[in-house]
Amino acid sequence: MRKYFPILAILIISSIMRFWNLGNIPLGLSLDEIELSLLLPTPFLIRLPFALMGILSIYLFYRLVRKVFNDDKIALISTLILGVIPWHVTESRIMSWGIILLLIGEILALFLFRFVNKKNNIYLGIILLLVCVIVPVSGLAIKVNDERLVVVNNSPKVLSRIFINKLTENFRLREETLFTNLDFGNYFFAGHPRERGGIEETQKLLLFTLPFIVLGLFKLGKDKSQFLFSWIIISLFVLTFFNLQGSQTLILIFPFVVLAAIGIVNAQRILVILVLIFGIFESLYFYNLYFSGLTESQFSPRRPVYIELSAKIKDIKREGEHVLVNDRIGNSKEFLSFYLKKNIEEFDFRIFDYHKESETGKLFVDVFPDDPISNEPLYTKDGAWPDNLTILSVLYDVGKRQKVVIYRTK
Amino acid sequence: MTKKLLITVLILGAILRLSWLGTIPSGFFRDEAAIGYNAYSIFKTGADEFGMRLPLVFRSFEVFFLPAYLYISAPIVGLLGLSEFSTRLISTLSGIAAIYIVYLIAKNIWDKKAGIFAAFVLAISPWHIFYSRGTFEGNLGLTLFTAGFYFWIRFLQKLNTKHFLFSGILFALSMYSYQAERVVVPLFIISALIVSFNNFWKIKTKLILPIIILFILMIPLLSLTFKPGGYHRAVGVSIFSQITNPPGWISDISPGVLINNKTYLRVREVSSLYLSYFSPRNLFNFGDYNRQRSVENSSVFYSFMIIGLVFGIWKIIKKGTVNTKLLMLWLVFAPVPAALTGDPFHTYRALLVFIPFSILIGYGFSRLSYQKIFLGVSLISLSIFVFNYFFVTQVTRAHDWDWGYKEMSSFINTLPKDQKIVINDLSTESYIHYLFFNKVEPTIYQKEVASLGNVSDYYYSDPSEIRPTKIDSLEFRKVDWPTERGNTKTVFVMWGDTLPDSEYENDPKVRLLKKISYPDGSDAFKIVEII
Repeated sequence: MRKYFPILAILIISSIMRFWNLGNIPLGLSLDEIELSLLLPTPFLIRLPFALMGILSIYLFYRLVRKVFNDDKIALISTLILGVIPWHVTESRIMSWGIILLLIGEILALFLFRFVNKKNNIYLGIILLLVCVIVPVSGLAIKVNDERLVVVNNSPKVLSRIFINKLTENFRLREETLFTNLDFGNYFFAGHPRERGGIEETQKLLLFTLPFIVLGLFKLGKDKSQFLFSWIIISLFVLTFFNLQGSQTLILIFPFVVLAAIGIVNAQRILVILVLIFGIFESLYFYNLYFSGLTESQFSPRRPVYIELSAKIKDIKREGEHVLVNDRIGNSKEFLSFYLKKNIEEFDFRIFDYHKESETGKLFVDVFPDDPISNEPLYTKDGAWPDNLTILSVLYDVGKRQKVVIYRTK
Repeated sequence: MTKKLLITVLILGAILRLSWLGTIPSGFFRDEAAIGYNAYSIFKTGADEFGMRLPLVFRSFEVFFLPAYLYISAPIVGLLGLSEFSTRLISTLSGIAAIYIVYLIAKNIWDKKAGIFAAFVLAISPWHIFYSRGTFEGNLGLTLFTAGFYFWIRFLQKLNTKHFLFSGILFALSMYSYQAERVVVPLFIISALIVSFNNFWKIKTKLILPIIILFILMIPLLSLTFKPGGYHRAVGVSIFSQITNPPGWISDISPGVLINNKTYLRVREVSSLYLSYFSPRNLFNFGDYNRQRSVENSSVFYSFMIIGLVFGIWKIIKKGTVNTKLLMLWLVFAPVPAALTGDPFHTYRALLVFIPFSILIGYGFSRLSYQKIFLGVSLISLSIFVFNYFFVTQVTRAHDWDWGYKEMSSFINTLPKDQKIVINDLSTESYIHYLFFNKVEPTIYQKEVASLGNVSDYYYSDPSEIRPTKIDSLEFRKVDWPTERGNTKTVFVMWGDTLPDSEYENDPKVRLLKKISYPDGSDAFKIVEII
């Protein structure tokens, strides 16, 4: 029984980090999570299955690493890292395809271990990767034609056809996905210094693991490297084929964490102590921000503004009053339906200009971007709100960089 | 056989670098014009555009170019004439020489096969072709550093003081070529001394004279280090002189230990900038973030080269030598100057890092099987790059290379000599293009500069913008079009997007003299006359 204490302790610590305040951190739900609310009515229950899958993936990870490396120390250290590293913690606290993929990968690796742990898998993975990079996908015609138009007057037509076509464009797209998943900035620095527009950049690994990962690479034995490289190549194939980026790449956490553990085991004690002290500081720094709700990026899919907005509407709306919601806020029907528990019979969701609304006696829920152009309905030269409106509430929507305004017309 | 292969690689490298050198890249960037014109001025008058005799740095639009490239170019520009070709030639010849030196390095570290592969990789690499085809003083610095490294490892092999002296001179000259070398060379030398301390100690007395010679060589550069002319550029781009908060800073929250901790965030920022120079995404896919320093649809290396790099590093990890340790030291220190500036993956500032990468890639491929496949994939990748560089980029990036000034300057020459001409100089650097393309006698411009004061009073000490706004009847300044459009008998040269067509189509008093278009058809310059 005593031999199970370490793994039990790790699972308990991991569980606390995943279940504590699960419904509210991160604040707000994403559209994908809202769609799950058909089955599960509260944010906590929506996220619970993924937190449970996260705990299960930690346990399976432990089993897998023990099987591959035949070393309890490495298994425990790597499992502990997995349990507390931001990437896995944050993914376990939201609806995450990354957690599902990781779990599938671990289950397959455990059950098919004899077949996975072969050198041929590396070659198979490379071939699959090459195939998916070369085989064209649909929907490239427009981009190809635009690019060709730019150069065709300045180069022989034959050359432009040879070098700008669906094949080359497909290659470039796949190549971009593949190499984006090989960028250090994604894993250690939340995308910095080359953040990607439209992608939610999150803190995945902490900087203190980097020297151990590098050392782990040096100390990795040839027999163990086969499994690790197989995992990496096949994961990259899956991610490239399905064009998965950002948090969906969680399956790649396996080699990082294992190498870090190998590095810790093989490093000099004094170095381990010094780096771990820094690591504890880094962890405290990150989790202080995370559990205070301060780590959401500009492109986060979560919309916490709807929590406050639905509460304000409940307070302000009169009995029988119609509410007109400007759908420019973004997926307003889905979110308000969830937070108002489907009491939206008196709600109308569309894009509107209040100047053109003929009916009176409505409650308006509108939007005003941070960089408005002069033909925005709520725009005024002096920056104040229009005189003919009674402004009842103004909320700031950080993610979309806009104000959400509740008002009635005078 | 090796000799034939080497010659083939060198010829291939020379063709890729010399073909259409005067016209491709399209356009002629302002820094190129500044270097070319100042080299011309040195040849003709012994002074730069400001009239400063044999300066230690060239303050042209407050960039303070280091002098090596300009002084080496001066006789070439003087003999061949002032042109894009003659200005770019030193960078090109440096690039070709680097291919041979890389062969020598890899041959010395491993064998001739590794040498050929490394040379071939460098000869066809997009980054090296790109930087060998423009007036980049950093490319000269890179070649000098590479040559210095070669003689360093030769010195360690034979403990010959002549090699030590050559190495020192070349490293010193590299420091006179580009800013990055001023940081990397000392770091490399100190660490290399530590690694090979025993070798040095054995012949310490023989090294005294070479060290004295090298110290004397460094005196001018050292004296400059503490003047604004010597550090202005470095300080100006450093992240530590920026007033913005580091990434990860949360606005409207007071700093603390576990939140908005500036020290921790700056450490993270520098780490992220440093590691970006080792990121596969930047090296093999994305490339430089700046349009002027990148080729359409291309990166620093071809994507397949990651295989060679991974294998090359793997082989070194398994079996390293003193020379491979020195190569890794070069690799580790090379991105440091670039990492201390705020720009994400600035290839020019980190140029030094790409030679050891190239050597490792070549070594890796030399040890893999199926080398005919490597050759085939290389040639396909090269052909795609050639198309993207020689055709696509010349259309899409002409704007970023200041295309149009040659045509603009030629047209101005057709106007009457006393015609009042105002050039809308939004970048404050248009004047150098005019000086370059019209081959204005340096004494004429130096006279204009002299009217601003005694040049030696401010040349090294005052980094603020100091330059005349007039050359004869030409004015270079910002044009306030609504106010000035009534100034009769004046010709205005406006950037294409700053003057709508309606201004001259609907107004009979404004006559369009010439419209200069970019290769993609958009407007570069509109030259109008107020009647």
